[in-house]
Amino acid sequence: MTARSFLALIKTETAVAVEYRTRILIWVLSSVFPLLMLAVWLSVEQTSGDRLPWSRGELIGYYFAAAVVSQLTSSFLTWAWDEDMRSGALSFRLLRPMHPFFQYLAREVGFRLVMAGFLVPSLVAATFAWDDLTYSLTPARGLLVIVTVLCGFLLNVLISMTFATAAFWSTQMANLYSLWWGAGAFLSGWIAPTELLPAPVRVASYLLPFRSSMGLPLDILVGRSTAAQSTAGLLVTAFWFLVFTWAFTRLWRAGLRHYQAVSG
Amino acid sequence: MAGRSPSLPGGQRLRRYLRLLRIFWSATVQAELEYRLNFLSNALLSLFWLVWAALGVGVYFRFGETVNGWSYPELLVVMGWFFAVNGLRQAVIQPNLGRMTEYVRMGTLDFVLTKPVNSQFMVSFRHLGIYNLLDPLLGIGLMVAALIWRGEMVSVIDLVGWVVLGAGALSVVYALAVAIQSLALWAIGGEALDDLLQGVVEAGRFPVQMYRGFVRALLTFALPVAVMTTFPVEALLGRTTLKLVVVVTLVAAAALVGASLVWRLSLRHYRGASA
Amino acid sequence: MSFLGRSLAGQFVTRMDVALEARYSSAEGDRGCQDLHPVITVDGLVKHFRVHRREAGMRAGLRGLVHREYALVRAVDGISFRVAAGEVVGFLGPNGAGKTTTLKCLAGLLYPDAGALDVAGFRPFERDQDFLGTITFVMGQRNQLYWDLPAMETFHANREIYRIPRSDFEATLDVVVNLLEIGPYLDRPVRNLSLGERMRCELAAGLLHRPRVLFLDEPTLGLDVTAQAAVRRFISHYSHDYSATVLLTSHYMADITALAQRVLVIDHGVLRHDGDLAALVAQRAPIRQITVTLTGDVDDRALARFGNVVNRSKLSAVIEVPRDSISAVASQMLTALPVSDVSIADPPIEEVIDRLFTERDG
Repeated sequence: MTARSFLALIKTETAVAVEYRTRILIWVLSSVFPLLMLAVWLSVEQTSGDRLPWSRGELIGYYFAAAVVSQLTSSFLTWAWDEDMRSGALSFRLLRPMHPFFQYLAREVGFRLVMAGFLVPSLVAATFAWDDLTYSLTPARGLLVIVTVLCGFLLNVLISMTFATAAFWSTQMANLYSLWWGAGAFLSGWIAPTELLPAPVRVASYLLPFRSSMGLPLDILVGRSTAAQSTAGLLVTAFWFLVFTWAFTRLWRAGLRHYQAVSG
Repeated sequence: MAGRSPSLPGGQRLRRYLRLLRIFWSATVQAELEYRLNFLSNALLSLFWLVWAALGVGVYFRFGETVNGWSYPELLVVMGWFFAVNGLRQAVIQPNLGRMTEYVRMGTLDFVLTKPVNSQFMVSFRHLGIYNLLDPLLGIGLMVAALIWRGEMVSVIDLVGWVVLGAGALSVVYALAVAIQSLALWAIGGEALDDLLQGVVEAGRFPVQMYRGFVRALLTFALPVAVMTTFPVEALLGRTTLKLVVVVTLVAAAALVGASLVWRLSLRHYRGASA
Repeated sequence: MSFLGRSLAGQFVTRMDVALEARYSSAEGDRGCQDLHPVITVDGLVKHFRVHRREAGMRAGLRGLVHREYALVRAVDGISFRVAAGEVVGFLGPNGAGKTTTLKCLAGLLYPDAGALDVAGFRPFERDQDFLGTITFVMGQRNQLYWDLPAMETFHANREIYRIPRSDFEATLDVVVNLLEIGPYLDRPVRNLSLGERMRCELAAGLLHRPRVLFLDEPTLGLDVTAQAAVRRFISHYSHDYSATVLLTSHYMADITALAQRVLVIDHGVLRHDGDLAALVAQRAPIRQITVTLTGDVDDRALARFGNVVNRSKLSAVIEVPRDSISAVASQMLTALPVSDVSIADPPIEEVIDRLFTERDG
């Protein structure tokens, strides 16, 4: 495999995603969860006043961006893989002289690119349309947001591929990944911004990989992350990236052997 | 159970359809028995999501006793009922109407339409997602626990109100599913149609009082979110009125009739387009 | 229009005849050269699967939740063969005989339980990238084309994935598109193509990197006669022009007779015959069929004296006669009966194969 062939694949996969644009749009529109969270947090803010350390503006900025970032960094590869194994499409990927990881990565990148294509402009437009929604960004912080979103995306793809690989042995991987995701939702900044969580949960959130793809870029975006905190966050991301690279490569080798042994 | 097609007069026909239902569902159950590990893992998953939701709500109450007039136990009752409704959606609607796009694309719908059975019935109740049948039980369990924690008696009248409003809620969800999935017959939306319904139902996770202004009006009057979760739970908490019960019943009946009309209209279009 | 159709059909028949001619005349001749440069070597290949077994009914289903019974399926049970470069070999066998499993092992999708495999100097299950670039695996019922994009997009993606130089790509594409006559379909989304159109594009996508070894699993399944013929023509041209080795399974005997010089008959995971079709027919069908056209009425009993009457009308009959005595019987008939015409033929190949598989059960 070469960088060229990988880029060509991304191009093709983006074309596929463009074909699905209507579907993607409906899908994005129907993922109301972050806005539900926002609504509830605004109610909390109204009832509790000063006891809540975050302002109304910060909450609005956080959750509107959460709606975008969560779509850009999440990965459906575990399910796609599950489906490919069932339908036999996985065989075609194994027959190509390119590691399936990159084939799936290309698919995910193409899909997220199309999403970014209309989500990011929508968010920018929303900041102009609604005065309550503003971000005060310096170029450096803006860049940091982009970097952390990219890192979060890569880490998530790697994690979901690791889970997918385990599907060589078990048919329950999609469910297990749901558990992982569910646990993550508490710690990623999805249910609440990390700062608003109870202390022990907050510590777990800082140390585990979940926050990398959600809370970290969002906290930087709304200005609730110091330079030191951001650096620490990126280091945590890098650490987990290494852990999952190790896990993935080991599982892949063993899993492929297993797949070759049992698939009918 | 979610509403049945309104055009089913006569006890004999009803019996026939109930028998069909038994045959359909026992076939599904048998097919799923093949995957025994799925049972365990889905049961665990259901329990996990219930605990997840209950704890998640708890975070809000770190900053105050109530949120817009709702206490923690009261919100848990809503959560339990939401779990029940959503579980039924996943068990009955998703495996059937949720696959409408697939039916159209694979031509399965043509098989359905050539059977001498009401087509809406066939596309609505052919399959059963048995893994999600645990969700309603868990949800009701959570409701009972939350009501005990709240510490106020639930009167028989409250209970009757909940049953009536709950039936209305399920009918409205079913009607909405039929209407949304009818779009597939016009080649609109694809698989995302199911996500659309899920999005609407998802908004029922919280009572409408959590939302404000335009959004609350939208969720109360345009989308059936208030009907779906807020009203039935308010009945249990002794906060409903007879007038509301009557209105919701009428709305539910109208929704079922309307959905059936939309289905037939779409079917006529589909037959016209594909002939 | 009908004239054109007929002339095309005529051409096709001629081509078939030529192929048959070649097949029958080659007989034992080319068997010796196989061992010189085997591209594929299979030695004692074994592949078993464990499958869950259960009876019908709800009770059995519930019982299965607690206690499971498994059955061992010997998909491939000790098969050995060699295929020389440029050979086209047909796999015959009923459903579930182990044909696809063997192909999957050879393509590196399955890890054999026992036995040694060598394909073009590689061990398939190691899935070396150079190995994958050497082979192709086309499955009639599945598709690798991007469903929602025109086939051309998949071709371009494959060009990059297989690192095909642009000039080679253009040249191969040209040949492939012409032979398969898919020019008009290349810029339509695959989902809008008919099965025949899609399958031809599928074949094209699998061959752009000019693989030297082709595994074709039911490449003509479900296609109409025209599309089948196009696919057949293409495979034969391709294997000839690029000296490619082809392993082919098909339920359509016409595919095998038109393409394969040699057939492997596999049943219940065991190789039952390896050789050319003529030998198979001679060995497995110890009878031939005499078709006589009569000038006058003949008693049924008079016909039965000569052999087994399988078909009878007023003025003609088809009689099965042992292969050894065929000429004697034919001349006896000519003298004893009012005959205007006699022709001798092998029974249809389908019957031979069917007999081969039913014999085993009987």
